[in-house]
Amino acid sequence: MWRKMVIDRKMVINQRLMKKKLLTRVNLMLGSVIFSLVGTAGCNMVKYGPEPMYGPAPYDSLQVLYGPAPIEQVEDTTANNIIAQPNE
Amino acid sequence: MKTRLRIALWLESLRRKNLKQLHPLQQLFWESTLRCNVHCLHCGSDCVASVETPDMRAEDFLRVLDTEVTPHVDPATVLIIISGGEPLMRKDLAKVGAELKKRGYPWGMVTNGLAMTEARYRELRAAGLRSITVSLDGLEEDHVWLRQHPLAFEGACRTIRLIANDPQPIAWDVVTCVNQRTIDHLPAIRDLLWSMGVRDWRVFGIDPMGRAAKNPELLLTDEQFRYLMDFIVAEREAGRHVSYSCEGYLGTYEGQVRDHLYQCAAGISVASILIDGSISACTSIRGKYYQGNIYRDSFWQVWENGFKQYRDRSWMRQLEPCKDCKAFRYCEGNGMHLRREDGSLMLCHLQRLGQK
Repeated sequence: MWRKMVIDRKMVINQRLMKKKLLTRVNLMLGSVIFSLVGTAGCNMVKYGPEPMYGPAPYDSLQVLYGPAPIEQVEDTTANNIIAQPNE
Repeated sequence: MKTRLRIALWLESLRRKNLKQLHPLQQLFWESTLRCNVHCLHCGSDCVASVETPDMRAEDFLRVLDTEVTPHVDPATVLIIISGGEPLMRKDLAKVGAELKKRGYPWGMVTNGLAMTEARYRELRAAGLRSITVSLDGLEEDHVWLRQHPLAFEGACRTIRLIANDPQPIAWDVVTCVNQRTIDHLPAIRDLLWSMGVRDWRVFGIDPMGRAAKNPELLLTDEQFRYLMDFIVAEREAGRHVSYSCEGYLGTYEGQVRDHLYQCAAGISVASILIDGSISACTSIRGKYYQGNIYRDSFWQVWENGFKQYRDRSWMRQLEPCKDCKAFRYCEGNGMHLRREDGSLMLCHLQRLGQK
């Protein structure tokens, strides 16, 4: 019984992965067709795809910023942050 | 609307439906600080955030990456975008960037450029900076007016030149928030940017939220908005890569003013961790639309099982102006950041364009 449960669970996981792969491929195809129709690609899945173009952020926070303050009034609250040194 | 565009929009709606099921995390914003060194007129305000709110500790964000995100993604496919406030206000920005690089994540940032120097830029590049967006909102007088800092224009231009002269390519662009004062200066702004080496220019309108809602000079009229669309179309036909921001379904302008058809990716492939740990989609989506908090919830569980309002937007159909709108299948209620706390829509781009 345990063996059956493990096998069934593996099948479910495999089915999910297959569905995910299928949807991803379908989306890549759809993106290509869209590109051929109007010259624009589907955002993300085609433009950024498996080898993403590390493009500019689609949003920036300019339109809604919170709590600006003159620099001279701001204390550096990050002084106590401890970050591991990066590898060379 | 031309048949080709209609077909493309229909296919895009199918693609989007799949994307919602997949919801691959591809862009993660980190609101690293609320501190800023300028005083933008269009700055909004949030009643739960203030300048006293300390920066999020870097180790908190990195912990979420290490324990919640990395086990489920290929880091190379997730762009971390450091935003603020002004990210350069964090002295540890390069250190954090290096940590992201060490973990295999490409990262980028948005900056006003005021605090950027050549040394700082090199430090950030060495730390793995892969993508940068610089804000420049007009010629000198107009930019200084909007940013309310006398050195804002000089800082932005200095940063642009640094990036343009970088011998190693980086993904970058300039964004401009167009307003009443600058709408007639777009050709001059374009000439300025191109003279500095900019080849990617994104233009935004300013949404009627926060402080901007009370300042009519910041908001474009519908006629000016249409002019902006026509300007972008003309620029792209002339071979210059000018784009409208990702917000807003633009009807017949779809396929002409951006590199992609409209979609609101908030909660579908875009998430953010805000200054107080709140989990949201884009950093401009606040309040009622938070999905959890990293100090209380599992980020990945929230990403996988939450964001229901973002991934199923049929609830917007109950509200005007979406109720009987035939374009809903393409726009799905416009950008989430344009939804008020009660769910009503601040702005319909189709109405602005006179196409509804």
